[in-house]
This record gives sequence, structure tokens and C-alpha cells, in this order.
Amino acid sequence: MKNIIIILSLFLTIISCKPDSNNKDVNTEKALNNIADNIILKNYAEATEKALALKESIITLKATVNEANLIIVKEKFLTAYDSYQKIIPFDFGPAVDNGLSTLNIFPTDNSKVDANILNGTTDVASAANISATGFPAMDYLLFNDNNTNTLVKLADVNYINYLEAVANFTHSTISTVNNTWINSYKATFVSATKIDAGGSINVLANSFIHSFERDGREGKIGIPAGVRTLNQAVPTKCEAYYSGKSIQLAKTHIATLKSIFEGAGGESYKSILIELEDKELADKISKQFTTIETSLNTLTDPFSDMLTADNQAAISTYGEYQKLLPLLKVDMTAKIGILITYQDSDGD
Amino acid sequence: MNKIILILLLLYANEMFSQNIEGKVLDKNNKPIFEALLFNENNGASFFTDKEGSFSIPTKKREEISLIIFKEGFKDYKVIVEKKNYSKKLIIHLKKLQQEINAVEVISKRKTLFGYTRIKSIEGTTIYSTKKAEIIDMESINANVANNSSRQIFSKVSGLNIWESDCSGLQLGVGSRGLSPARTSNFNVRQNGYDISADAIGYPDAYYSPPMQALKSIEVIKGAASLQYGTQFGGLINFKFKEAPTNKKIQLNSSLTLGSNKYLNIFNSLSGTVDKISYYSYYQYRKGDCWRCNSKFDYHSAFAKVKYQENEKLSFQLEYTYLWYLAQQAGGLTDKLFNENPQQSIRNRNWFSIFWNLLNFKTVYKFNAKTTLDVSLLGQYSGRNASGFLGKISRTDPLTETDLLKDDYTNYIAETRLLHKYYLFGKRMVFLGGFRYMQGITNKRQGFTSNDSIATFQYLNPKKLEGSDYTFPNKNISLFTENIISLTEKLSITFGSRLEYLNQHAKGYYGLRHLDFAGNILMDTIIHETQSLERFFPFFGGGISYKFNKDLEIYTNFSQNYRAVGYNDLRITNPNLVIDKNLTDEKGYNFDLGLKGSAKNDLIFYDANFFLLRYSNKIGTYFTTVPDPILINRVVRYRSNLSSALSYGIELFAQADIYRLLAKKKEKAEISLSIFGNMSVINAIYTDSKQTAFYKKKIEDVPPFTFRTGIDFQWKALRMGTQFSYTQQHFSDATNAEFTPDAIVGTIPSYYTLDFNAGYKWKILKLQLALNNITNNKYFTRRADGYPGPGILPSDAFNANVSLSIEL
Repeated sequence: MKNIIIILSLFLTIISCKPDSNNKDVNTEKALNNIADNIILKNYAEATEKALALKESIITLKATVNEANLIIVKEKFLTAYDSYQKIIPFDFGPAVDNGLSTLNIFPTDNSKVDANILNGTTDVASAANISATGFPAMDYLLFNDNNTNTLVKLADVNYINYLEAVANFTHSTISTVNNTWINSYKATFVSATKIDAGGSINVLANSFIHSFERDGREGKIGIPAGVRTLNQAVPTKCEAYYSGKSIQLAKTHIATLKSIFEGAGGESYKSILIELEDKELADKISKQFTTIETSLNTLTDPFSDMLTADNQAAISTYGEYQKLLPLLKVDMTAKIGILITYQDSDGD
Repeated sequence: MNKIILILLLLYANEMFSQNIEGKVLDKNNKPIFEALLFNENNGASFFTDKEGSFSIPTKKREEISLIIFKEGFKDYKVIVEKKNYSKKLIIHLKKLQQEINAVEVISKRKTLFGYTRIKSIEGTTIYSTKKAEIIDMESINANVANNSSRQIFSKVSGLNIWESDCSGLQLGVGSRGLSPARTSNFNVRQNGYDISADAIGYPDAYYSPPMQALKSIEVIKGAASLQYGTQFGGLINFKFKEAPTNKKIQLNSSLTLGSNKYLNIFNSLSGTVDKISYYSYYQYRKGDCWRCNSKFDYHSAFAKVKYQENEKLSFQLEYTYLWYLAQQAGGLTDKLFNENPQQSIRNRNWFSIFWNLLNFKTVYKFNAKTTLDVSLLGQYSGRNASGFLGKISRTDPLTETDLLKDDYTNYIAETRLLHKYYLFGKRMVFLGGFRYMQGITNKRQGFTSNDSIATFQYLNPKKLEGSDYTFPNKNISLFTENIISLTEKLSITFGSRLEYLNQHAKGYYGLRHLDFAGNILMDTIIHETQSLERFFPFFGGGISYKFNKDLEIYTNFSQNYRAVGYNDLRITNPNLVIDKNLTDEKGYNFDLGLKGSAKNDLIFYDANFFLLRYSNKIGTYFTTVPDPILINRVVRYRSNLSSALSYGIELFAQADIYRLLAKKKEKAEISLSIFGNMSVINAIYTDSKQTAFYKKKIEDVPPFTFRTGIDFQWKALRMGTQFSYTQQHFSDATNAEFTPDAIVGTIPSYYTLDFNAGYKWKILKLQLALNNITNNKYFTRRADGYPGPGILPSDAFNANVSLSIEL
């Protein structure tokens, strides 16, 4: 009997010697705080402010429909759309709860927008109107025609009411997400410091890599350039098709992603990679971000016009996006121990 | 002179090592009985009588010996030989049985205590020696069998993680030793010895398990069942149906159960023996509204077994099993919703249905008391349908078309086993050899069905499914052997090996649709795929058992095992998924070192063991790049053998009949008060993984500590029992996430349950009461990543049911 106990305990001792962990403990706390304060909250504040400015300009326009006010609205719209690009990559937490991504469903369903205006519908937050709201709908309402014709349409109270409803919905959505971040979610975000599927470093990586792959590579460049349609460009699929500012928005989007990776002067994924002794990978990723930015400079707005003429330059920009994907989705995640949990896109 | 020394030596040796008990076994006419089996209960050794009915049993120590004598056609006979009577010649008269008894039970039936029976070293044509094996005796268990409560039924099997995620135990979810409980797919699940899972090789999910009311016993072998039964690291679970009564031509058992949430269970069985034919059959109907909203079920199960006993040597047996049920499923919840109200449901379009048909023909031929041949032929046609919106539970149901998953499984299995007992150098040896052939086709389809909230299980486009449509032809041939060699009366070893030939194919298509961001279709096509995988490999195992005496045994075993590449692993549903060309089966081994025994004339039982399970080549996916003609490097989800895992721990079980231990007239006491305790401590970790997010993390769904205890009380025909079960907090994913907003992964907090059962038997009537989760705890045992969730699947709150049974 004693022997058995000795044998058993011997086994347990041998087995319970834990193997040495090769996983270097990464401190994500600093990075999370830096990203939250210097990127996420800052970007949300800016997007909220610009959306509010847009909303207010439309109120002014509604009071006095004239060209000067319309020009201001258009200006405010483009700034708001541009600042919205800076919050697209944070599609988690309050952004998901409040459906932030529904503000950018494009191409907009213009016949649905027209029908809604005809019917006097202003229920722009409903699931049925998901493709007739947000920035793409405003892009259509404001830029589909020249100013003279647009002013005529704006004289229709249903038209301006719809525009106002969309702008209000856009502002209230962004501002709700912003407030939630300030009031509670920032604390949640910075306290989930572990590197597991629910840890913020993992959640943010999934979100921004997904945004890079899906919003950037696919939506802004690949789909309109024709990579999903046997190399036949589909210019109508461009983001901001009516205002023609697609490439400008793509640049803001990629600059935001780059800032998330690099940390806007503070700790972030790049510093984590360097801490894990892979400066080479960190530099490679930064370099490829720059290459994409350079490549985007070869594309011109209106992007749809450029694609109609020739899609080759766009295809090669798509290729530059594609080169960054393995660095982020394969190498960086493997190095840090991040699990990609979002569903695969349709295929490369 | 030399002769004298020799004789002296012999006498001396005789005195030192052995003393024989001699005697004869006769029938009532004083005719000798040839090949009657004598089983020495003290050490498990067995002997046969010769043609004169004589026997001679060597004993080493001068001690009281308990002998049991078996012979087909005769009643078992037990005799205690006191040491002072060693020299007397034993004359044993066996009484003839009216009916043929079942197989020769090589090892005696020990006294059963409330559902826990120690398994014998051999039963039928199965070797249990040196293994961690348990039998749950359903006829004496204190558990809520009328509601298939698996946590109560398996309460005395240590180290199990039990999922309770549907009402009324429709599906069994039991896992052990660091393996997932998902549909008990890490166990080789059988009934009456034959396969009942969807497909033993490629899709070992136990969608069907028999209703507990129809069972006589459940055998559980943890770990080392691989040589005799093949695939699965968890071991074997074998459900044994009740037997026909031998003394009645017709017996009716009827039982009606009513319970909480409109639970209704009607169970009727007919059984009996007419001359050479015996039969057992049942029909069970169950229905209920489950505890959660948006859930209910309708369940029909039937079984018939006819056995024809030609003579003592030859028997034929035909069995047919049928099951159909339809259940509405409440879906999952997020952590927030669960905390608000676990009873709520935010999905009302999720349906699940299965149908199961099993036809098994078995013939047993006993050449003599030593050699038995068992041939079993099985045909299966089964399937399942699941429809619903399976998007993240944090999303609102968009009320669009729902997904429909339809599978069907057609399998043919032939399994032959030969058990032969023989003597070599005067020692008892056992040889078991077998052959298995399996051929099957599984079909798995996935596509859209209408957006109705009722279950139609019809595809919108059956010819061109939006998801995928694959068939998986499958072939498996195995040869196996396991042997017991008794080196001494106390020490025996087992060893064996198994050869596996596997040939798996996958053939089908998946729908590829490119959409723009507004959901407009850019391209819609289907892609055809084929995969095949053929391999041949042996594996080995062995064990040692040392019996100090009849009450104490130490055993150890080592057994290699594998889990075949699953059908889902061979299915491509997305161009971004690439399957490793060298994808192979998951391999590993199981090791046990344990001590089991009893004391005080079986009023105390215990079983304690250490185990280690090595699990290598675990299949999973990770992202990598593959060369691409257009893009230099293409990012793909790569399915490969990527992780290795290790789990080890201790499993302890003990049970004692306190009242009888303290009572003066032990065995004759009318009262029995028994307590049991059962715990396991497990450490389960990924030792290596190409998916760095898993590296050195804890294995998902493994509670580090589980503890179950209970008290059983019996006074004459009154039985009562209460059970407590505790499961410690653990992770539900391999990255060890604590919280995610969509609730697919996260911790599973510690939980406990308390149950109470009582039964009273009066003549032909029996009344049973079951109170489950008495403290009304709100808890959950699992999170689901897809069907039937996704998200948290809450377990039932307090519920009760009452059964009235009659036996005619």
C-alpha cells in the first residue's frame, strides 16, 4: 500500500513539473492606454464634431435653401465622411452595439432613397433602410446632380427632411458610440490586457486587420477595380461614387490603420513586436504601409472615371494591399499570439 | 535416498506454495458435470472440472476461500471453504435451471451498491482486465432516468465533464480527461456492443443515445479501449439494454412520467421468453416544453430484440432501433442576457430533428466453455436536420432565409470477435481476436431554407446549395487482438495490438458568392472539390494487474490511440481554406496507474488512479501563406495537424455503506445507507501549437476540478438518494478568453447542482419522484460557437417529475 502511494506521488511530481514557457509575457497595458487615448478617443471626438457640424449646416440649409448654404453642407459632408474613415477600424464594443458600420453601406440603393423621399419616409434607422442611409445616401442626395438641380430638389420638403434625418441619424450614432467610449468602454478596453480571444489587443487586431482586408483592400479598391468580377472594373461600386472622393477616403483610412499599428508616437503593435524582438517584421509592416500610401498616390479622384479608362493602376495598388495582408494576418498575429476570429472574406 | 529427499522437497514445496482443494461437481442424479467453471473469488483464478467432474484448486495461503461454480443450464453455486476444511473433499451439487442463462459469466457478480458495480476482468467477449472500467447498474441506480439526467446517471464515474444544454437529455454530452464533451464524440459510443454514432470514423457524434429507462447497465472504459474498439481517446461507453425475463412468457412494463414544463414520458416495454425465443421491446414517447422560451420537443423511440437460443452453444439475435425527434431550440445568450434572465430566448426559428435506424444481427457460438465466437452485422440509416439563424447571438435575427444543415449517414459494419481461454504452463490465458469491416457514406449539405419560423427542412435551391454539398465515402478495416497472461495467481498482464486501414474520400461542391458591401451579388458560382486520404497503421497497448488479494488490485495500462480525420476536416467551403496535403489522424496514448479494491465484505469500494493522456497532431486551422501565380503570397486558412496536448490528473471514487458497516448484523440489515464521493483533478494544456495563440494555454472545456457526492438510502422497498455535483470554472476556448461580447467563447463559471430522487415499490407498482437542481441555480455548462447556440446555453433551473410504473 505504501509503495503504491510512493509510486503515485512520484508520478505526480514528475508530471507536474511545468514545462518552461517560451511565451514572453507582453505588457499590453501601455499600448492599450495609448491607442485608446491618442487614437480611438481622439478620432471619435473628431468624427462626432464633424458629424455635428454637418447636421447643423443642414439645419441652416433647411432654413434657407440657397447655393451658398448647399456648398457649406457639401464641404461639411466631405469632412465628416473623411473623419468617419478614422473610426471605421474600431468595429467592436459600442460600435457593434450601435451599428456604426451601417453608416457606410455602399453602393447606396438610390431607388430606395428616391422611393422613401416620395413616400415622405424618414425612418432611416430601420433595418429595411440599411442601404438607403448614412454617408452613401447623403453622397447621392448632395452630389448626384449639379448644384442648380440639387437646389430644386431641396425645395421639396421630403427631400431635405430625408437628408436631415440621415444626417441626424449619422450624428446620433457616432455620438452615442463616442459617449459610450468616454463613459464606460474605455475602462473596459484598457483593462482587458490579456492576450486571449477576448483581450483588447486581440479584439482590436481582429477589427483593424479585418477593416484593412475588407473595407480597404476589397471595398475601396478591389471590388470597383474588378478583382471580384474577372478583372472587369465596376466603377459604380466606388465609395463616395457621386462626390468622387474615393481615393481621398482610402488614404485617410489607410493612414488610420498605419497609426493604429505604429501607435501615433506611443506604444502599439509595432512596439510590441519590437519588444518581442522582431524589429524586422515591425519595419517591414511600416514600410509596406508607406508603399500602399505611395501607390494610392498614383490613383486619382474621381476614381470611377479613372477605372472606366483603365483599371491597371488600381489592380497594382490592390496588389500592394495584398502584400501587407500576410504580414499583419499571419506574421504579426503569430508573433504576438493573436487569434484571428473573424470570418474569412470571399477569397483571394 | 534421493527419492526420499525428492518427496520431502515436494511435501515441503506443497506446504510452502500450495495446498489443493479437491472435489467434484455433480448434478442432482450424482452424474459428474464436465467443464463446470470454478471461480476463486479471492484471486480471480478459474478452473474447469474434468470428465469425472473432479477439480483441484491450488491455494497458496491457508485462508478462507470463496468459490463460485458456474455451468450453463445450472444455477450458480457459491461455497466458502474454511482453511480447516482444506483436506476434506468437496462434493458440490448444482441445480438445473429451467431456462438457459446468458453467457458464462466468467467472473462473479459482486454485490451491487446503488448503481455502481465493479467491472469484471472479462465479460462476454470483452476484456476489461487492467483497465479503468466501470459499470453503472441502471436497475439499482438512484437517478432521474425518466428524464435522461446524465449528470445523475454518470455521477459515480469520476472525471467526467457533462454538458447539459438541451432539455430532457435529448443528446448526451460527456467528455473526460481533457476531451470535449461535444455529443460524446470523444468516446466510442455503442449499444449492446455495436456502433450507434453517426459514423464511428469520420463523424463520431452520438446524436442518438438510448433512453435510460430501457437500460440494464452502462459500461464505461476510460482511455484504454482502443485495442478492442478502435478510435477515440476517451474510451468506450456501451449501453446495455434490459434482458428478457427468463421465467415469463410475457411481461409488460409500463411507466408514466409527468413533470415540470409540461413534461410527459410514456414508456412501455414488452418482454418474455417462449421456449427458445426471448424478446425485449419498448416504445417511448416523450414531449415537453423546455424550461427556456422558444423550445420544446417531441420524441419517439422504439426498440425490439429477438433472441433465438438454438442450444447451449448457438444463439441468434436480431435488434432494431428507431428514433425520431423534433426539437425547437432556444439558441444561445450573451453573458449580459444570461445575467438578466437565463430563461429568455432571442431566437425563435431554430429547429433540430434527427432520425435513427439501426438493424443489428448477432450470432454467438460457444464451441465450449472456453471458446466463444461472436459475429455482429450492423446496418444503419440515420440523419439529422438543423435549421435556424446561427449568426452571432449579439446580432438581431435579420429574419432573412435561415441556414439548413442536412446530414445523412448510411453505414454497414461487420464485427467478429473470438475469445478463447486456455492454459499454458498451468496458467490461465485468454486470447481475444477480432476483425472489423466498415463501409459507409455520409452526406452533408448546407444551404438556405425559407425564412419561416416553422421547421420545413426544405432547401430553397436543392440543386445548387448556397453553402455546400459533400458526400464522404468511407472504408475501415481493422484486425485486433488482446491477450491476458496470468504469470502468477496474482499477477497478470494484458497486451495487444490493432491494425487499422482507413480510406476516406470527400466529394462535393461549395457555393462561392462575391457580394459588394450592400449585399448585391457580384459573382455566384460553385466550386467542385475532391479529397482522399488513405492510410494503414498499427498501434499497441498493454497493461499489468496485480491482485494483492481478492480485495485489492493495482493496475496499470498504456494504450495508443487515434482519432480519425473527420469529415468536417475534409470539407472545403471557402477558397481561402487549404487542407494540408499531409493531413493525418490525431494520435496519442493513454496511461493509467490505479488502485481499486473493497473492504469489509464489499461494504466499501474504492478506485483511485492517475492518468495521462497525450494527444498529438490535433487538427485545427491557422493562417499562413501559400504561393500564388497572381499574388506572390496568398493568405489562407490552413488546416493541418497543428497542436499537441497533454492532460493528466487523478480520478478518485469511494463508496461506503455506513449503516451496514456500523450495524451489528451486517448483511441482514434491512436498512442501507450509503455515501459516495467522486472527484477528479485535471491539468490539461497545449504543449505545442503552430497556432501561437494556443501555445501553452489550457485546453478548452476541461474543468480542473470536479466533485460529486451523494447519499443513498434504502429501507425495504423505499429508496431515496440525493446528489451534489460541483464543476470548477474553466475556459471554453484554446486562447483561454475570459470574456467576449458575442459570448461564443469565455469562461464557464463554477457551478453546482443538488438533486433528489425517491422511489417506493409496492407489489407491481413503483412510484418515483425526482427533484432536480433543488437550489434553483442559474448556471451553464457550455458555450457553443454555432449550432445549437451560438453563445451561452443555459442549463435548466429547478424542475421536478413523478413517475408511476407498473410491471405485469
